[in-house]
Amino acid sequence: MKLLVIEDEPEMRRSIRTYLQDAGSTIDSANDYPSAKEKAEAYTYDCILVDITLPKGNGLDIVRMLRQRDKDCGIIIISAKNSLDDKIAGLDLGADDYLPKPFHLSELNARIRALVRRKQFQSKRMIEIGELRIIPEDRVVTVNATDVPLTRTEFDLLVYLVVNRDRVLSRNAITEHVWGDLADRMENQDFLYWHMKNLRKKLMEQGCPDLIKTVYGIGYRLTSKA
Amino acid sequence: MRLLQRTTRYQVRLAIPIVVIGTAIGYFLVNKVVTDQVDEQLGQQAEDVAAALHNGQRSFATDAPDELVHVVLGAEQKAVLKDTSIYDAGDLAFLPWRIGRFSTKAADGQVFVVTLGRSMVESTDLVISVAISMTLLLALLTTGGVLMNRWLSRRLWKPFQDTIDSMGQFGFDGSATAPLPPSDISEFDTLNRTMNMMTAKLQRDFTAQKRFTEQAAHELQTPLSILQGKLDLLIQSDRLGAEEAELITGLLRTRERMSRTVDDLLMLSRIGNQQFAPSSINWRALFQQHFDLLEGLIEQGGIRATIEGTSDCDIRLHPILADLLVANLLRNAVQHNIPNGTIDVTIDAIGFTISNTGAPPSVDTSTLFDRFAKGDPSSSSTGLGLSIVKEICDSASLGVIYRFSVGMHSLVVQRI
Repeated sequence: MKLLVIEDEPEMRRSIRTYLQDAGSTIDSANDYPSAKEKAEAYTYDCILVDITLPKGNGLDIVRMLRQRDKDCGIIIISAKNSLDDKIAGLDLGADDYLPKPFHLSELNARIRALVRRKQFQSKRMIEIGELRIIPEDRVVTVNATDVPLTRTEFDLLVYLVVNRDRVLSRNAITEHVWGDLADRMENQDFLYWHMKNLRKKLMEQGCPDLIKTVYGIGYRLTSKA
Repeated sequence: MRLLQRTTRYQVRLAIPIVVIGTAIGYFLVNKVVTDQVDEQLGQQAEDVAAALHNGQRSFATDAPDELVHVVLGAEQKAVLKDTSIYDAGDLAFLPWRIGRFSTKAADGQVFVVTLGRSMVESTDLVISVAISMTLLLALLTTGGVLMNRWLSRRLWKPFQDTIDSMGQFGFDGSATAPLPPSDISEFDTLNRTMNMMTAKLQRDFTAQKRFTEQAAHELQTPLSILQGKLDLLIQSDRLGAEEAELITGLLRTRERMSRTVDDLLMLSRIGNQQFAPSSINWRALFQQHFDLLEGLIEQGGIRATIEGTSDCDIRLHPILADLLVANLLRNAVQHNIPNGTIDVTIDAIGFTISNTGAPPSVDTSTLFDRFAKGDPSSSSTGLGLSIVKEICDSASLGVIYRFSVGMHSLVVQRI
């Protein structure tokens, strides 16, 4: 998967590049408006990440330009300005998603994967890890061709872990993704433990090896290599 | 007490003794004038009678009913003048008379005692009617004065009253208030100009402060996201021991807390700064939606959540603000709850009440809506949740009250 990261903050750019490269993507990056425009015009990407505030220009103009040429790539706006106006403007211009800063890199990865999957749904609509098979669009999970009945929450948990497989996910990144802001602010985070426990139990009952590992003190990791 | 009432009260307090004393003095003066007149007539008559006696006249009968002349032989005595009452057979009453008595010696050496009298009935009537008209006149004058003063004061102080009314409507957003008009009375003009300057400065400062908060919060988002990115990468390391994991967990938690504080500050400044057009909200559905979300989170805590009330309330709010309000209220109700507690939402026509079980408040409840007011300083909550609730309510002219009784905390949101 080929991605373009348009972000002026070097440290931010480097973190995004490292995380997404390790997750198996090829990363191109641009640090200002002219170079971003040049790359977006010259090459084809599966997904482009655009920061709105850029040196020498506005990220929204790149969104507009890409959509006018009807480029079929996914566009995700990442912005420090978590303002409704920017969000609406960005989505109106044809961006596919809007991710306010600060975000978890795992969340960014999940959004990219979901977006790319949506855009190329014919070929890659199924995720397979060993005996585990997930069809995200139909919300179906099977182990050795047997359906695993999961609740909405358990399903969301599993997809998030699978999309970020072999990565350590902090508890907070998971809660924020699955339950949103409300859960993120709860003092008592036991609910994550309970749902995770149920998910692991249901998967193992169908004969799936225990892929989900607890990372002591930090969170969870789903391993694809047993 | 209003200025006008106080002025009137002082005037009335001053006017009553003036009318009473004025009437007394008036009565006394008129009375004296009339009596002096009668005394003068009596003196004149006394001289005439004395001269006649001297010339040998002995009979002094008079026909006038209001006059009295009486001459008898007697001893010499000092002349006296006095008021007295004499019984009148015709009127069957004692009537007031002015009596003068003196002795005089005739040419033949005989001493006569002469008594002269004038009926004072007419004069007394005169004095009384003069006194009454004087009193009326005085009372009329003072009442007129007071009324006139009231009317005048009201007219003169009108610009001041307008200024006060205008100040009462002052809002920090500067949307509703027009500048105070110039006045042709220099004091009021100065007052209005000063007020205009002060309100303009207040609004400028207020907006500047809000803008600063917003900018500061924005500027913090970038370093926070860099920090988050680095931490996300750091936890991928295979070389982390238990000790490192613990340190990183602390860092992650702190980062989250900072983000939340920044988010809340941004939200607070936005609620006041931006215009959120109100629309009608299905509150019952909104609460239900948040309850559904909460259910997955609180099932282990055993908290029971119910929605009561038959009708929906017609509080209008922007959907984003409504969502934020409900989220903050319910989060508050969950966070300060006890195991196996309850959350009850009661919706009626003019508002809703969120009640939850919980320990008695540990902080001064009057500071509950203040920013950064936290019951437990070690808690990772931002201490801004109820400030956001208050800010939203203020922006929509809603009242929000806190109550605690028999183990239940209640927050009541109502139209004012």
